[in-house]
Amino acid sequence: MADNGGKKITLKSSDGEEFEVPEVVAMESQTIRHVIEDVCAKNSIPLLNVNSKILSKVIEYCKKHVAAAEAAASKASTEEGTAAAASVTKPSDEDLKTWDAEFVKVDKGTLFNLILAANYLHIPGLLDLTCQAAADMIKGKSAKEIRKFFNLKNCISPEEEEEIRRENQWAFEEEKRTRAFDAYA
Amino acid sequence: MRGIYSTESTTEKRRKIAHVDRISNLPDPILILILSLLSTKESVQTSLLAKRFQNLWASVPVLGFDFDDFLPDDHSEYLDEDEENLFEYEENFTKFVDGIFEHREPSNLDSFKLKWKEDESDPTPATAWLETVAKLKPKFFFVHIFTENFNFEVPDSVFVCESLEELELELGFEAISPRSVNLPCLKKVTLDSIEIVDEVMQKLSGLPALEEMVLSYCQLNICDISSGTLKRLVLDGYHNDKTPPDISISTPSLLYLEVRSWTIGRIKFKKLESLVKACIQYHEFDDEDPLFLTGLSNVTYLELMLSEWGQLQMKDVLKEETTKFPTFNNLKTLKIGEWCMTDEFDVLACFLFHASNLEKLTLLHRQSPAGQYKMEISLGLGDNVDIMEINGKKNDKIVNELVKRVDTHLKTRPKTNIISSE
Repeated sequence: MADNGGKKITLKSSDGEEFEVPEVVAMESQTIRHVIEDVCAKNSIPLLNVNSKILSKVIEYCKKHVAAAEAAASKASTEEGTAAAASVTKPSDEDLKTWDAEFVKVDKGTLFNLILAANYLHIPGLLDLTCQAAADMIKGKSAKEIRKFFNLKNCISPEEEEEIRRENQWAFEEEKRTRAFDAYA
Repeated sequence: MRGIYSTESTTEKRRKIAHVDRISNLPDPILILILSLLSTKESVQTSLLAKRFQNLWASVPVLGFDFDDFLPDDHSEYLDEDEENLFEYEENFTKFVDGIFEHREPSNLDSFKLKWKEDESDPTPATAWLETVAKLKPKFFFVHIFTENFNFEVPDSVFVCESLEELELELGFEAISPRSVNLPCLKKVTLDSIEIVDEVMQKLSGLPALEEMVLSYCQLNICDISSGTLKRLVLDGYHNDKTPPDISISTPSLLYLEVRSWTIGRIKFKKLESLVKACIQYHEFDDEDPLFLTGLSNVTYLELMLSEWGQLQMKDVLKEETTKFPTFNNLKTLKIGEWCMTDEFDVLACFLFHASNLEKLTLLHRQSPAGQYKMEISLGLGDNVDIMEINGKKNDKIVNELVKRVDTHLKTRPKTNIISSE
């Protein structure tokens, strides 16, 4: 990806750190794109809701995906690329998927901050990726395990839980009938 | 000067950070997005987690049901005990799905997925579910119902659901026979193990927005597939009792064609002028149409695999009919199985002779019987390329023979690089 010659823009995190990135990378965020396009182009855009640690991860994601898109576009002009475009799974997608999978192997705190940042900055690909990672953490866990894993507060009392189960028997009945014994929270 | 005067020690701070409830801080739309990535059964059970989650599941615009989730992990249809209990599991499943429809927010639905595969099970309740869903204007509709002992009819309302963009149906070889088909937004249709007659195929392939069609192991009683809009077509096996009927394919906008587990000669390729990529894998060969390749001669990328029996047949025919061999002017990438490698490589040579713009050739070479290994030989050819790379064993007789043969068909003599790979 050409770093020189492209227009650069500065993003400023909530804790004051500055990141200079090519404009095309910053525009992966639709929020930032609107600022650049609608408001007079500033040289520095403050992002009050994103700290430096998370912003650097977000920039890493955007750089990687912009580079992948550029590679795919240049390949598309070759014959094999056109053929690849005709089929659904492109070989470059596999590498990107692997990279994405590694990218979300972070601690819970970072993951949730990434979710919030992707939402605030309107980066759909990153939002989908991080939400899927969060969903994968929930899958297969019992209510007790989920509560513990996410340190949930405002849990309902055992009496309240019993009432919900009773009122919505159709939703929970099955749990009592599984052969595997799942200890009641 | 912050650190020294903080009121908490660093370890205390770290402990606090580790135990923060972060998920509850996420706004509703994000939590709903996360829940939409779970099955409906899992998403409903989050209502027990905390107050925050009590009613979120009801707003999720995605529904996914799988009867398997209502069977115990070690369920087996061969256990007597389980056969008796099956009725109970069915009841739990139907009560659950009914309950969801009753208690969820009455908003529209983005995506509906239902999987019900259990031979002894009676899927009749699903008819009402599908009718309900059709009214909720979903975009994606995936239904897999395979219950051998009971027939299932897909309700007509599914086929006139105007919001549908993608439809996937898998049945147990029952037919679909909608009275009318009105799916103006449908882009992709997948039919698996379904009986399809001409009338239905015409209605489907005539859909104005249709771009992709996948037919897997269907019972096809049709004579053609014609569509002006179709861009991708996949025919993956057929289920007809005898050989499949002759099917002609007229799809002038088609970019990608995939045919697997079929009999050659049973498909006539007509009007494939836009075709860029074709992957063909045949069982056997039908004497009546030796040069099925003619319809594919526009492609840029071709992959051609034959079964062993088909190989033998093909070799003989191509030897005789080399003058009728089509010219592949656009072909840049060719991937073929060893069936083309007769003793003198004349079939392969035939290909090379008729594809003067070829840049990349991959031969999949399998040596049976005992040591079933796969040797991939990749060549880079073309006027601008002066390096020929072959991935294969260095002293392999076939590789050496191949190098010799290919040489004679190139205008410039390339530098040959043999890369050994196991």
